[in-house]
Amino acid sequence: MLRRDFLKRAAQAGAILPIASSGLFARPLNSFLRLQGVAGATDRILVLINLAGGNDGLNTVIPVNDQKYFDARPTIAIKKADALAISDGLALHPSMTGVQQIFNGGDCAIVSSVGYPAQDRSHFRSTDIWHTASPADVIWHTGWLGRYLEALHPEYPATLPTAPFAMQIGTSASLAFQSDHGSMGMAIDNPDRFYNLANGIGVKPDPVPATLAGPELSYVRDVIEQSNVYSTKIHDAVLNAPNNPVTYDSATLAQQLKVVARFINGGLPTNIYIVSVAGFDTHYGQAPLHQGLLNTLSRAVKTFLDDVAYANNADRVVCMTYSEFGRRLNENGSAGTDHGAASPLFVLGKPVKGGVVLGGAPDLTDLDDRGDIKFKNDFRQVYASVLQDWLGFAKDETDTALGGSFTRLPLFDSPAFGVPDEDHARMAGYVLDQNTPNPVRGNTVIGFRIPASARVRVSVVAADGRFVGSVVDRTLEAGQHRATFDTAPLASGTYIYTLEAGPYSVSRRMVVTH
Amino acid sequence: MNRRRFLLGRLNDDANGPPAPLLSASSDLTPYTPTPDKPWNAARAAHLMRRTGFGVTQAELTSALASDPATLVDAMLQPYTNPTLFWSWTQQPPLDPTAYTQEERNQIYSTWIRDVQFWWIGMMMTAGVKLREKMTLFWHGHFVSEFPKVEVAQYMYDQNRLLRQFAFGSYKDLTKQITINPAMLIYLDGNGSAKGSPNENYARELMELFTLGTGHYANNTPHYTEQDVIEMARALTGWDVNGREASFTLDKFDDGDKTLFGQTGNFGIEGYGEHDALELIFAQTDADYNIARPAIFLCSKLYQFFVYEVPNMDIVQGMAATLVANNWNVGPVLRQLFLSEHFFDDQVIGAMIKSPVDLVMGAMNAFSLKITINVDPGDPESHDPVRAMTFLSQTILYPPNVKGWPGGKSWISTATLPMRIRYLKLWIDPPDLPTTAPYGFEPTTFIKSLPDPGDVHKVVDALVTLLLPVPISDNAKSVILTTLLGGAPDYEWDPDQFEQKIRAGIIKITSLAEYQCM
Repeated sequence: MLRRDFLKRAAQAGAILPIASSGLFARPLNSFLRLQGVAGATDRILVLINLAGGNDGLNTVIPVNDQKYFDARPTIAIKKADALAISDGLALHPSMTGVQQIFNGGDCAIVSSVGYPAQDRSHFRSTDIWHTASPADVIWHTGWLGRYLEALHPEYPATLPTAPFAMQIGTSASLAFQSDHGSMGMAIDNPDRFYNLANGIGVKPDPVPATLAGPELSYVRDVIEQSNVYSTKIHDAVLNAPNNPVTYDSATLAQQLKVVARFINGGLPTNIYIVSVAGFDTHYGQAPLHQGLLNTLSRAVKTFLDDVAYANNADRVVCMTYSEFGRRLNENGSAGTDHGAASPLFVLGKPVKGGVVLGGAPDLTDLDDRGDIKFKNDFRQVYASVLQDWLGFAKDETDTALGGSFTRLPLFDSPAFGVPDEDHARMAGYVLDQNTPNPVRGNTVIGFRIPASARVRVSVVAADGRFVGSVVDRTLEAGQHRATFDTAPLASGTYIYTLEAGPYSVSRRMVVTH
Repeated sequence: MNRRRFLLGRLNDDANGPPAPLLSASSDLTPYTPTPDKPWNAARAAHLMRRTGFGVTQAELTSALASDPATLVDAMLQPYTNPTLFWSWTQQPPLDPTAYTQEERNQIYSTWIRDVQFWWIGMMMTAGVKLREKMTLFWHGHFVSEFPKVEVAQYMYDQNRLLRQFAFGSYKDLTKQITINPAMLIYLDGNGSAKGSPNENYARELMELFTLGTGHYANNTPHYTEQDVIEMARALTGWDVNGREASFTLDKFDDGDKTLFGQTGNFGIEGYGEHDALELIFAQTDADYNIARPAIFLCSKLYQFFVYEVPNMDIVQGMAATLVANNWNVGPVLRQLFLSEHFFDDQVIGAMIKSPVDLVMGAMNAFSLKITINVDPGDPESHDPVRAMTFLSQTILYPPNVKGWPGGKSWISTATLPMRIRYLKLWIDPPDLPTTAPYGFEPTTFIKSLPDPGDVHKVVDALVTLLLPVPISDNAKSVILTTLLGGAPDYEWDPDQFEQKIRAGIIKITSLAEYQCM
């Protein structure tokens, strides 16, 4: 499904930034197989739940043994007797019985005191920081998931997939999906109102004018095209979804998660979803509002996980909450709380190594200069864990997508699914050299080292994931080896070659020019 | 090995903003004078009407072409009497919470807020006051309050009237009045904020979203600091909502010294304290442009609202200078902008994506649809324009959050675009509703309003000029022509006989990407 000259138009639109250096590197083969939807493709799903407004973490995961908490919040502290104990000194808000059940069942991990250096207390700026994964003092225009998906799908947008890579349930796609090639995700509010436009138009689009109207028109046309391409798959998924014996609340969040469950259970191959619920900005009369919000969240997540479990999808679904900041330890004079800093987040689902609070209770003696909780876990550590250990993204590419290397957290029962990442391979003594010459026309030499005798495969795939040739496929002794590969039959372009030996895999990029 | 160019932009960029466009209009704020190169033609006249109002009809276009830009813009900026809504509840105090349950109050207030919404969109359709209503919408998206939190319909009504009163008025005076406006006091929790433990909500948004904006100047000085937020919150203590007014209680006011923007003193507002904290905000200089920071901040937003998504800072500076020179009055800024070379530059015509209000009210106007209230509030295909805007993600009096509607490309997504196109289809060719219904589009009457209704080729040109902001190719026009004729030869064209074909032809036009722009 080749598209009109998207890149040209998009570049004209100014919507696309120059890419400093081209393409891909160090991509494990399974990423390619996955993106092509062949055997080994990931069917793992990440559902992000945005708690917009700045969730009061201290009244969500409550430090019930800390007198400082009660002293700082004379009217809004949750009594220990009311809270739902989950671990030594910590208890959940009384309305969160659903999450407590999940936690006790071992399917919920809580990461405490999540934040970032130099906390920004603007809702909008801090939300952008979470969505772009930028450091607090710089502005990035692409999102963490957009960069992940862009690396995974270099063929986009020249070729559109049959189903969206990522979806926001709502009316506009999150900044988290934004890439140098536009949004890698789409927005869908209600699948019943996702109309196919193909019949409505029937006028072949004109070239866009060479004015500022051009980019706007191109953008609108791209959305028209996406709507048409995806609508069949989306409607099919909704029709295929079984009616499981669960009942969602009427709350927006519950209804959004219901839509996600219909997509997942209906077999839509989308891997990333974002849902969002607002109202967490509890400056005034917090107690009843927060009670309602957490109750909604807890019930919705429980229902959702039950729903996907009924359809045998529990093994492939993980949910994660996030909020732009927590709230101040001291309550204000309006029985509410003002903008704070670090706060806990929840990672939920059967694959989660649950029943733990990573980082333990927040330290209420060591506050920042505004009297806010300091962060212990950088949010990008959570992102790195999710990308690598849940979605199976390579370490190098995770570091690139996040703009740095962040220590992962033990969030999943069986992390690093598929092949271990390149670091593991390197540490184990597997080395794949850059081919020489590179760029190449004709023969190129690929060197590699293995630490022990093993069945070794070195193979080459095109940038679109198509297998183009085998370099080595036999048992070799430990040590350094060389193999020659003839690129003459290949078209000019970027190719990936991958060394696979036992559980290990290392990839490199070669450029063929004729 | 960072293979992407992570933009290391300064923080006073809009984090959501797109990168600067490759193309930029080279024209400036010099008054536009028609020339043979840049004639006062239908494209420019329709552009002025769409940007300053809601859609355009042939009658409006014809009348505009017979006039000139200055006469038209001056007429838009005429003084006016601030209108009132006739329903009796608007005269009454808020409901007594002891006499009604929360649920009853919510139900009653929801009915009343619909009164306000329909009153407002009715005025949007009223000749002569469209720019006033558009500016009221601008202020509503700037000095945001959300009805669901405010709860009391009277407060939203009063705030809407305050915004309308200042449609072309002083930004600084409006900031002062909105600060003690009951809806705002409730929305951003100024209500009851007292010394000792002040509420920071309003203080932060006042600076972040209403006057200064987040971020730093090029010299790395922040526009405001966290300390300024704390101290401003203290200066704003003492205010409560009392009936439909704000009241001040001296005992609740923190009358100690505060250090704001490096100046120490007993800051307050409305004559309390020794120095005015809001005057101090408006005295902050933008270190990059050497003019009052709130002027740059507001004019950037005005530019985005009326001209193009990415502010042209040369133009914004000129607007800011006009704003300050006119004692913060917005009217002269609008006059200068709408009469400028820049505004009529081909570069910017058609370069804005219609907001849902522009799309829906523009269609109501252009196709002479009648406003129909509450056909079926739960039905997305209802002909209720407020309902339509809601499904397209812009409900007046219910902005999404304190930052207002983000606008621009964010209006268009796979969730909203199919519905935008579908609504137009529904209004032009209602599938299962009698065409005599009050909202009904009258194809023959519509075509006969065009200059040469008997010549189908001229009808196509007239429709494109009236309904689209940029030209389309002969090929696209021929598709429209074929649809209008429905297979008949052109000499058989008869607006009286071709009703259904006219509907189909117009739907071709409203389904084009060009129709989403203005």
